Amino acid sequence: MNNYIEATIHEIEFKVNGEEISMTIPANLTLVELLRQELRLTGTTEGCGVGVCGCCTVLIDNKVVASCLELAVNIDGKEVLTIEGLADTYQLSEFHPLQTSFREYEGFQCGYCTPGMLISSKALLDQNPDPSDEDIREFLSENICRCTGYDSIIMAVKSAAKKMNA
Amino acid sequence: MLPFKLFLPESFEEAIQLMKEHSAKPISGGTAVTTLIKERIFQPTAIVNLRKLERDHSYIREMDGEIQIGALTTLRTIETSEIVKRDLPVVADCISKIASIRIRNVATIGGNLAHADPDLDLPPVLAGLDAHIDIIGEEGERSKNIKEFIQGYYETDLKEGELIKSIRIPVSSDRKGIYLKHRALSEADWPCVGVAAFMDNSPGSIPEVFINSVADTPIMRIEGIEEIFSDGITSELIDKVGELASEQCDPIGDSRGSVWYKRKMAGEFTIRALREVTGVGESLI
Amino acid sequence: MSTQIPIIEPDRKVEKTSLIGKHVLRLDGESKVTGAVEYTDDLPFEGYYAEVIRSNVPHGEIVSISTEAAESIPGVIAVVTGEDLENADWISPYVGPAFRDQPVLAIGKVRYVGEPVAAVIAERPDIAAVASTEVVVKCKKLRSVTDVVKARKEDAPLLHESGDSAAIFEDLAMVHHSEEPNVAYAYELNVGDLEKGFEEADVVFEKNYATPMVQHVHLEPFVTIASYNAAKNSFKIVTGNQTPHFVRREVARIFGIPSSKVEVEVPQMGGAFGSKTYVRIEPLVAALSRAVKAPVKLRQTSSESFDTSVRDGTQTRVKTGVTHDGVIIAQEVEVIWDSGAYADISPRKVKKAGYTAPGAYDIPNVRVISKSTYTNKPPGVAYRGFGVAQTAWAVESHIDDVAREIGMDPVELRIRNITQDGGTYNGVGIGIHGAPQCLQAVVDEVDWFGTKLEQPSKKHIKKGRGIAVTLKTTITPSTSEAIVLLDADGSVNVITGGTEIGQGIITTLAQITADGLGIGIEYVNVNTPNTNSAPFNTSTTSSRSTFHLGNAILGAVDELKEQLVEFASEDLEIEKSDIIVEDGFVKTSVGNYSISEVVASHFVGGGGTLIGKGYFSTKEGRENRYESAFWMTGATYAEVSVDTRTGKYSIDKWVNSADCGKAIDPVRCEGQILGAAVQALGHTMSEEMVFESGQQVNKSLLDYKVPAIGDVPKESKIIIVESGDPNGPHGAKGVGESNTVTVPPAIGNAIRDACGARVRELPITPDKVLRGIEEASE
Repeated sequence: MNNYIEATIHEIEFKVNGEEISMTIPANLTLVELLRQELRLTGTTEGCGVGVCGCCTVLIDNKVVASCLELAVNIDGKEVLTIEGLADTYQLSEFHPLQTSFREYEGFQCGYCTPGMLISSKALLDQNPDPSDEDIREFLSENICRCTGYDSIIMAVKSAAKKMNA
Repeated sequence: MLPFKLFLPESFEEAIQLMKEHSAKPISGGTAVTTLIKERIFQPTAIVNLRKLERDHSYIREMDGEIQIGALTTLRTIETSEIVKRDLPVVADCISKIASIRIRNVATIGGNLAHADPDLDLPPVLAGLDAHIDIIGEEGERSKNIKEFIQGYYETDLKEGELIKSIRIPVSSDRKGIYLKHRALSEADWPCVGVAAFMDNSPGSIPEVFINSVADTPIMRIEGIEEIFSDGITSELIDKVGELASEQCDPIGDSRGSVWYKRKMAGEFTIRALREVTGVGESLI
Repeated sequence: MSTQIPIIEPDRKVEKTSLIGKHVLRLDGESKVTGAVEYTDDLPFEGYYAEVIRSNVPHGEIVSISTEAAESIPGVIAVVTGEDLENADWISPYVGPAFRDQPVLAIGKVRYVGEPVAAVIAERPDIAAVASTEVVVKCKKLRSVTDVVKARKEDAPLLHESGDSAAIFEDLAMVHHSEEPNVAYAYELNVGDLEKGFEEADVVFEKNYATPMVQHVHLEPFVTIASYNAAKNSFKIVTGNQTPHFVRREVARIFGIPSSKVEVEVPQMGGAFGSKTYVRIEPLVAALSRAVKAPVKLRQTSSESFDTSVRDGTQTRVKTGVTHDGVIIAQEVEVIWDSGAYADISPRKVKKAGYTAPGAYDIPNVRVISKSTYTNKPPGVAYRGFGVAQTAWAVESHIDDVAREIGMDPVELRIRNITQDGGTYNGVGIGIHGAPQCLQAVVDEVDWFGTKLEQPSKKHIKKGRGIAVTLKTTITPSTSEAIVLLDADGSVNVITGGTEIGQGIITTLAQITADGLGIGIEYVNVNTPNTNSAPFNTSTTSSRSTFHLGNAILGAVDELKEQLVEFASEDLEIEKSDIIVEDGFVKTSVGNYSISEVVASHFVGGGGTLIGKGYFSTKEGRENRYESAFWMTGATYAEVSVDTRTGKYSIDKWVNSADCGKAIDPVRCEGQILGAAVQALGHTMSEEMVFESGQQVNKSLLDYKVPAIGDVPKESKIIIVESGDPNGPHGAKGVGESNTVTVPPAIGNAIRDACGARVRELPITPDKVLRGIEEASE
C-alpha cells in the first residue's frame, strides 16, 4: 500500500499579460509551474526553487513575487505580468527600454536569470524612475546572476531609465 | 510539491474550523512553509491557506498609543507604511533587511512570527518594543507579549487551532532603538547575529538588548544589564555587557560562524548597538 | 531575372570594416531579453517524467530496494534500479571519461550521500515525485571516509577495488589507480634537482593551504530528454551538455550501438561552468527511456546539482627555496585532491593543474606531486579554472608568505620570477603567453610601487591591498571541426559542435565567419549543435572555443573562398590567379562581383550550396607547445577594508586583467573577465559545501551563498591585454578562466596586508579573519 493523497482541485480566474484565463488546477501547483507547464509561457525560468535566486520573478498586481514559492491558487482574481508581456507595457517602441539596454550592455550571458532580472528592474523603474546604483543594488539584492558579475546589469538598468526619462 | 488538500477560508472562524476538521496546518504568505514542503522537510496532508483573509486582516491602524497590524499584512506593506516609518522607524529599518522585496511582498507578519525560526530578524525588535500578539482560537481571543509568545526552537505559544490575529506595538517617542544585522557570507543572507538594543529617554533609564540566531529562539534577552549600569553608563561598562552577551548566548556553529565566533559577535554587536542607543563611546558602525 | 533567389548586395559605397575587435550585439540577445530562448526544459515534450531516489548513507551495501508501493500508484510506469540495469542485456551500465568507475545507478554499493540508487518513471512529474517517496532503500552501512588524509591510510575503507583507463583520450591513456589506498591517479613532475635547489637557497619556507568542495551553481539545473526508438534501436538525446560528442560516444558504447544511432542535440544552456561536461544524467535518462521504450525527461532540482557534480577540494603543501635577493630556485608542491566517489575527469585535472601548480614562475628545480583521491562525497568534475583555481590559491598565497619571510615586496618577488613571453616554464619553452603583461597592467593601473594606501579614520577599519597572477593551460590535445554552408543568396550557416553556455560563442563565431567572408553578420546563422550534422568538437570547455572553433572556421572560410575563385574562374574564363575574395566581393581582373552573384550564377535549378570544411587539431605542428595549445594568463589587484573587530571585510576596489590574445569583441571579453572574477568572489567569501557525517548540510541557495549584487566591489576596472597568440584566429585565445584563479589569492593577500590575518583555507569567512587577527597579535 502507498500513502498517496489526491490534491484538492481549485478553479481560478486571473489575467496573464492582459489575457483573461480561467482554469482548474491542483492545490500543489506553483505559479511557475502553471506558467511554464500549463500556459507554455516558458520565458519565466525556475532556478533555485526556494525563492533566493530570482529567476522566477513575475509581477502580481504590479508587485515582484517569487513564482516558485507562490501557490497558483493565490493568483485567483489577480493580474500577472511575465517576461512575455514586458514589451507590451511600453508603447513607444517594439521592445521595453530595459530589453534594449540589457542587449546593448550585455546585461546577460546565459540568459537564465534575465527574465527575472528584467521583471524586477521594471518594478524598480515603475516606482523609482531615476534609481541610483545603490537603489538598483537594493532592489535586485537577491536576483542572482552567475555569469555577468552584475556591473553590466547596473549599467543597463541606468541606461534604460535614462531612455525612459528622455 | 507533493500533493495536499488545500482550504481557502474567508474568516478566522472558518479557518479555525477547517484546521480542526482536517488536522490542517495554516499558511499565510507561505514563503517559508512552501520552501519546507518543496524540500520535503515538511509533508502536510492538508493546508489551510489564509490568503483570503487578507481582505479583512491586512491593515496598519493607530489606536490608543499603539499601532495595530493585521496578521495578514505583508512585510513590505509595513516597511513602506508612512505610519510605521514615522512612529516605528526601527521596525521599518529591520524589515528592509529581511530577505528580498520579492519575499517581503508576500510574507506576512503573522506568518513570520508564527514560524519562530531562531534566525528571524523581527522578533528581537518587537521584543524591544514590548509588542503584543493577539491570538484567536475556538475559545475566543487572548493576547501574549512577544517575549512569551515565542517559546523555543520553531515553537510558539499557539495552541492547536489557534492563529495570530494581529500584532500591537506600543508607540512612544521616548523609546529609541536600533537593530544591527551582521551578515557573514553575503549581503543577501540570514543574520550570523542580529542585535536589537532599546532604551527610554528618561533619566536613569537602563537599555535592553535582544539577540537572534544565538539561542533556540530569536529573542535572547541579555540578563544582568541593570546591575552593570546601576551607577551609570560608560564605555567600559558597555564592554562588560558585551561580555555578558557572549557568555549568555548558546549558538550553534555553522557556515556563518563557529560557536566561538557567534559568541564573539553577540558581544561585539551588543557593544555596537549600545554605543548607538546610549550615545556613550565612539560609533563603530 | 533568371533567378528567384534574393541576392545579397554588399553595400558598394561603404568601405568594409573588420568585425574583429568590434562590439556587435549578441545574436541570441533578442531571444534572451524576451524569454523566447529555449533551454532544454522549455521544449515541447510528450512522454514520461523521471525522478531519482538517492542514497542517504555515505558508504553502504544495498540490501534491498522495495518498489511495490511506488509501482502501485496510478500513473507510475516503472521503477528502475541499478540491479535492473546490471541484469539487462542491453546496457553496460558503467561510465566515465578517465575510468569507467561510475554506475548509471548504484549497483551493489552506494558511495556517497545523494548517489542515484533508483528512478521512478511516471506519467506526470508530481506522480513521479510522490512515488519516489514510496521507494524504500535499505543499506548496510560501511565504514566511510570523507577526508583525503584518512582516505590514504592503510586501514582506510576502499571505495573502488580496481581501475583501468577508459582509453578514450590520448592524454589519459596511461592513467591507472595508484598503489596508495583510494588514490585514483597520482601525477608527478620533476624538473632540475629539487634537493640541490633547496640546499642552495638562503631561505626555505613551507606552508599548507586548502580549498573546500564547491559547486558551480549553474542556475539552469540538469535537464535531459531521451527518446529511444525501438524500431531503429537508436536514441535521440536533448540535453544541456558542453560535450555532445562525448555524450554520443559514451551512450553508444554503453548500449553497444554505433555512434551514428545516437543523436545528441544541445539547446542553449543556462550556465554550466564545467559542470555539464562528459556525461552527467544522460546515460541514466537514456537507460530509463530504453527500459520503458518511450521518451523520458528528467529535470533535476537545483539542490540535486550538488549531488551530481562539484569542484574537488584540495589540500596543498608548498615548499619554496628562495635567495635573499628574491630568486626562487626550488619549489615543491604537493596537491591532494578530494575528488569524491567517482574520478570523472579528475585524472586530467590532477595532471594539467599539477603541471602549472608552481604558478606563473620560471623555477629551475621543481617537484609536483598531485593525487586524485576517492572519498565518500559527490564526484569532483571540471569547473572553470580546472584545478588551477585551487593550486593557485596555494601558490599565490604562498608567494606573499615567502616575500614577507625575506622582507621583499610581494609584487617585486613576482616580477623577478615570472616566466617571460618566449621564456621557459618547467624547463621547456613556453612561447607567447602574456603573463608578465597582465601583471604589469594591474601594477601600472594602481601605481603599486608609487602609492601607499591611506588608512581610514575609524581605527578598527584597516585597509590593505594584494595582487595575484596566473598561468593556466587549455585542454590539449583536442580537435574542432567546422562546416560553413554558403547559400546561393550569399548567406551562410555555421555548423559546429560548439555549445552556447552563455559565453557568447554563437556571436563570436559569427563575427569570425562574417569577417572572413566580408559579409554582414546578419547573414550568418550559427547553429547550436546536433551531432547528426555537427562535425566533431572535443568539448566546449577550457575556454578553447574561440581559438579552436575560430581556427576551424577560418579553414572552412578559406575552402569557400577557393571554391568561389574556382567558380569565377570557370564562369568568367579567367585565370584563378587573377581572382581574390575580399571584403565580400569576388574581385577579378574583369570586375568585382558579390559572393551571391558568383554562387547564384554558377548553379541552376533555384539554388546551390557551397560547403567549406575546416579542421583544427592541436596535435599538428606545435613543437614545444604540446603541453598547451595556448596559455591563459591574468592578474587581479584587490583593495580591501577589514573590520578588525568582526573580521568582516569589503573589497573597495579591484582591477582584473586578462590576456585575450586579441579581443574579438571587447565587451564580451570584459563580460568573461568580470564574470569569472565575481564567481571567484563567491569561492573567496562564502562558498563551501559543508558536510556533517558525510552529508552536505547546505544543499540549497538558502544556505550555500553565491555572490549577490551587493557583494560586488563598487569600483572595478577591467584591463584587456592583447599579446597576440601566434596560433590563434586573428591572434585570439580563451579568456574565460584567468580571473577565477587570481581573485581568491589577491583578496587573501590584501587581507593579510590590511590586518595581519593570513587565512590559508578558503573560504575567507569573517570568522577565520578574526581568528587570524587574534593569532597575529599573539
